[in-house]
Amino acid sequence: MMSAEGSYVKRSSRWKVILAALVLALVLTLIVSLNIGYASYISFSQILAILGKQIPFLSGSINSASISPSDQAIILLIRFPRVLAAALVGAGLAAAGVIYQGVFRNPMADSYLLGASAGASVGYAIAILYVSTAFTIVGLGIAQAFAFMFALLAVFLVLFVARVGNRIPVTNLLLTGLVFNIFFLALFSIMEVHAGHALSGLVGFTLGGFSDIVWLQVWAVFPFVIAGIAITFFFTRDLNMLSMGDETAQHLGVNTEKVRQMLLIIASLMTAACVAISGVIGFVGLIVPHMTRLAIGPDHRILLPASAIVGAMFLVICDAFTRVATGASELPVGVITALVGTPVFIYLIRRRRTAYSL
Amino acid sequence: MVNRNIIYIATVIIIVIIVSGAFIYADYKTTNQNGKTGITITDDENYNTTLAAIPQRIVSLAPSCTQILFAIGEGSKVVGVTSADDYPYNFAAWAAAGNMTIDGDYGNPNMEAIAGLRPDLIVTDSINDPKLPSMRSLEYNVIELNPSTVEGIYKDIALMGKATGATTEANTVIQNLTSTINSIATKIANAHVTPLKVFYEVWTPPLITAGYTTWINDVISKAGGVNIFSNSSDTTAYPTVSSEAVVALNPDAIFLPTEMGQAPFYGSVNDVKATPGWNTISAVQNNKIFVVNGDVFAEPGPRVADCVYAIASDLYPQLFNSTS
Repeated sequence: MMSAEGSYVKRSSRWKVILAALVLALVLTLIVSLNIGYASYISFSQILAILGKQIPFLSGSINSASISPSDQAIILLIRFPRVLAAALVGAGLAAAGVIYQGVFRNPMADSYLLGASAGASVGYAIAILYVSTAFTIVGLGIAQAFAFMFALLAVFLVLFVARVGNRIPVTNLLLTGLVFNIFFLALFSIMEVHAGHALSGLVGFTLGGFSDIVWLQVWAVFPFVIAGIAITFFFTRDLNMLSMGDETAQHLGVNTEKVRQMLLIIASLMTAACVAISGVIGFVGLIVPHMTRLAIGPDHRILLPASAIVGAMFLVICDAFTRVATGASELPVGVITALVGTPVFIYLIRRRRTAYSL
Repeated sequence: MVNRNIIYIATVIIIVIIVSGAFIYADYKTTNQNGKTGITITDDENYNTTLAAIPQRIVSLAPSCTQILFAIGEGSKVVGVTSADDYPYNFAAWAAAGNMTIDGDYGNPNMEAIAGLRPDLIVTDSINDPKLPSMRSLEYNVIELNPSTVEGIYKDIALMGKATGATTEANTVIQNLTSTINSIATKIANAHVTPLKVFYEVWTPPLITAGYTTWINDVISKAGGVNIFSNSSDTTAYPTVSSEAVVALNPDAIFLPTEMGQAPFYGSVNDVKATPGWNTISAVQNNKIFVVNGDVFAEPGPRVADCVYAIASDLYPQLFNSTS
C-alpha cells in the first residue's frame, strides 16, 4: 500500500516536470513561429513591441516609432490568430485522437474515425457550391458553419446507427464510422465533379490549412478545445480502465457505457470545431497520441494533456513550415504534417526494443 | 436514456440558433453597408461593397481581373498580382525588379503579402470564394467577378470602370470588344453556313468540357458554333463527360486548350485521334482538331474577342483567311 502510494507520488512529480517542460516548449514554439512568415522584414524586436503595445500597462513605455500600421496588421490580425488557431486545432485533434484510441482500444483510431472530416467536407462543399459567400454566420464564413454542422451531423448519424438499445458496441461503431466516412466522401466527390472553378477551394479544404484564419475563428474553436480537454481530464482515470477492457473496467466500478458515450461526444465536438476552421488535417489525430505514448507511456492522466500540448506544438511547427515554403506560395499543411511526422515516428518506434501496443 | 435525448435535443437547438443567427447577421450586414457613403458596387455574387473613395491601391487575385484593370488604364494602381499573372506584362520580371508584388498563387492568396500592400480594393474571381469572409472581416473591400457569358464580361469591365472611376475607358474597351465580336458574328450570319458542332476539351482524363453556364459556351456560340454539351438543363459549369457521349454527339470540330503556354498537356491532337472509337467522329475524320491558347481561354477578360476570333477562324477558315 505504502509503496503503491509512494510510486504514485513519484510518478506524479515526474509528470509535473514533463508538463512544465512541455508548456515551456509550447510557449517557445509559439514565440519562434510568430517570427516566421512571408513578411520576414518585420524583426523580432518589432514583433515584441507590437505585442507589448497590446498590454495595457506596458503600452506607454514601448517605442513604436519603427512600426508601420501594416506591420501591426500583419502580426496582430493575420499571423497571431493563425499561430493560435494552429495550436488549438493541433491540441484538439491530438486530444480527440487520444480519446478515440483509448475508448476503442484500437491503435488505428484517429480523430476522424466517426466521419467528422468527411461530413465537414460535404458541408463545406454544399456551402461553397450552393450558398452565396455573401452570407456569414456571426461573422464566420458560411462554409465553416456548414462544415461544423455537417461534421456533427455525420458523427451523430454514426452514433445513432451504431447503437443497440442503450449501448453502442465498439465493433458496430468502428464499422459504421468507416462506412459513413466512405459514404460522405462519395457525396463530396459528386460535388467535386460539379465544382468547376470552385474545385481548388474544395481540394484546399481536404488538405487543410490556416492561411485565412481571423480572430473570430480562433474564438469559435477555443471553447470547444479547452472545455473538451478540461472535461476529459476528469475522466482520464476512467479512460485508463476502459483501455483495459470493458469487463475489467466494470469490475473497477466504471459505468463503461455512459463514460464511453460522453467521451465520444466530447471528442466529436472538438474534432468538428477543429475541422471546420482548418479543413481536414490528417496525421495529427493519429500519430501525435502514438508519439506521445511512445515517449512517456500509456497512462491517460499524463497522456491526454501531454498529447494536447505536443499536438499544438506539432501543428504550429508544421504551419510555420508552410509559411516559408517558397516566397508568396504556401504548401498545404496536411502535406507538411506527414513529411515532418513520419521521421519523428520512425525514430520513436525504432528506439524501442519491444513491440509497441496501446 | 434521458442523457442522450438531452444531447440530441441540444444539438438540434444549437443548429437552429446558428441558422437563424445567420439570417439575422446577413440582415445586419446589409443595413450596415447602407450606412456608408461613397460608390456602391454590386458584384457578381450580389455582394454590396461601398467604396468611400476611388481606390488607389488595388490587389488583384486573378489574371482576368488584372487584365481588365490594365485594359481600362488603371494598371498603375495595381500593387499586387498573382504568380500566374503574365499578361499584359511579364509581371514575374516586374516582381524580380521590385516593381510589383506577387500576392500569392492563383487560388491561394497570401494574407500577409496582401496586408503588407495595404490595399483599398481587392479584386478576385470565384476561385477564392471560401476566403472572402475572412478578407471582409479584416475590413478589406473585396469585389468578385464571375462572368458566365460574354455580356457578363462586359458587365464586369463596366463594374471595374465604376469602381476605379474609369467609366469612359471601360466603355471604350466594351465598345471595341462588342464591335469586333459583332463583326465576326455578322460575317458568319451573312455567309449562311451550317453551324458546326463543337467539342471543347478542357481536360483529360477524366474528360471535362465547358457546359452551358460558362462564358466559353457563349464564346463558341458567338463564333458560330454549337457546343455539343450546351444542354441548358445541366447547370454544371465544367461537367465530366463520357467518351461515348462525344462519339454519339459527333462534333464537327474539337478544341484543345494549351496548358500554361505549352502544348496541350492533358491530351494532344494525336491523343485525340488515338482515343478508341473517336475515329468515327467527323472532326477526327476531317482533321478539324484545333489547339487554342489555354491561358486566354481560362481568363474571362479583355481578350475575349481573341477567343471568339480563334474559334470562328478555325471553324470557318473560308470566311476569315483572306479578308481579316
